[in-house]
Amino acid sequence: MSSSGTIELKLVFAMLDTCAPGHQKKKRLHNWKVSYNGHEFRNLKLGEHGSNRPEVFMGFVRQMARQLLIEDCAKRELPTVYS
Amino acid sequence: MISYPVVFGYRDVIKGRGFFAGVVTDGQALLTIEDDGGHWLFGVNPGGVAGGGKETAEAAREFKKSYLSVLFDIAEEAHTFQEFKAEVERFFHETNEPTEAEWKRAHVEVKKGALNNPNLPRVDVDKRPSSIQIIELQGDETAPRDVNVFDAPLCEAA
Repeated sequence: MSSSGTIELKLVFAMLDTCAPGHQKKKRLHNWKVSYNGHEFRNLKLGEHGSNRPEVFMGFVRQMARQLLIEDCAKRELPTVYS
Repeated sequence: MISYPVVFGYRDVIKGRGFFAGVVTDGQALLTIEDDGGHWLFGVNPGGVAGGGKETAEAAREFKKSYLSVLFDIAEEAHTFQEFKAEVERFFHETNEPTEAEWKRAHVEVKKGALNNPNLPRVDVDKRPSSIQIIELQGDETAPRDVNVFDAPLCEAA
C-alpha cells in the first residue's frame, strides 16, 4: 500500500496520541488543524461527509508526520502508510 | 519511487469577513511518483499541504485545492484582514524540513543532469524564489478586469 491508498481517520488520531502527546487538533471548515511542539499541519482532511468511518489518503498522513517531525514514530505506529 | 523538485505559482483572490485579499505565492514542492503509479505533490513552502492523483496534472489540481482549502479555513477564522495576512504568512513560511531535505537532494540530481522530468518545463529556481505577497483589495480592485488570476505552470526546479 502507498500514499495513494486511504486509512481510517480514527487510526491517524490514535497515532497522534502516541507520537504527538499533548498535540492539539481543531476541526475547521475543510480540514483538521493539528498543532504539536511548535509545528502546525492544517491539511488533514475531514473525510467524506456523512461517513461514520471517515478515511483520508495516506499521502496527507505522511506529509503531516513530516511536518510535525514525528515520522519515525508514525512509521512504527502506522506501518501500512509506509509499506 | 522517484521524486522531482518543482516550483509553483498561484494567484488568487480570497473573500474573508469584510475583506478581499489578493494572495500571490511562488512556492516549492516535491513531486513524488509512487511505485503503484500514484503521483503526489508534497509542499516544502508551504510545508503543511499535499495533494495526490493518478497523474501529475491531477496531483497538481488536488494540491491547489488543498492549498486553497487551507486559505479558506484561515479566512473563516480571521476577523480582520490583518489577522488573515499574518496567519497565511505563517502557514506559507512553515517549511516542511524533511520534505525540503528530499527536495534539495533531488535538485542536486537535476543540476548534475542525472534527473529530468520530461513532462515538465524547467525553470531556474534562483529566478523563482519562494515568496508570498498578500494585499487587501479595495473597491474597484476586486472587479474581474483588475485581478490577475492566472497561475504559473508547474515547473521542474533547475
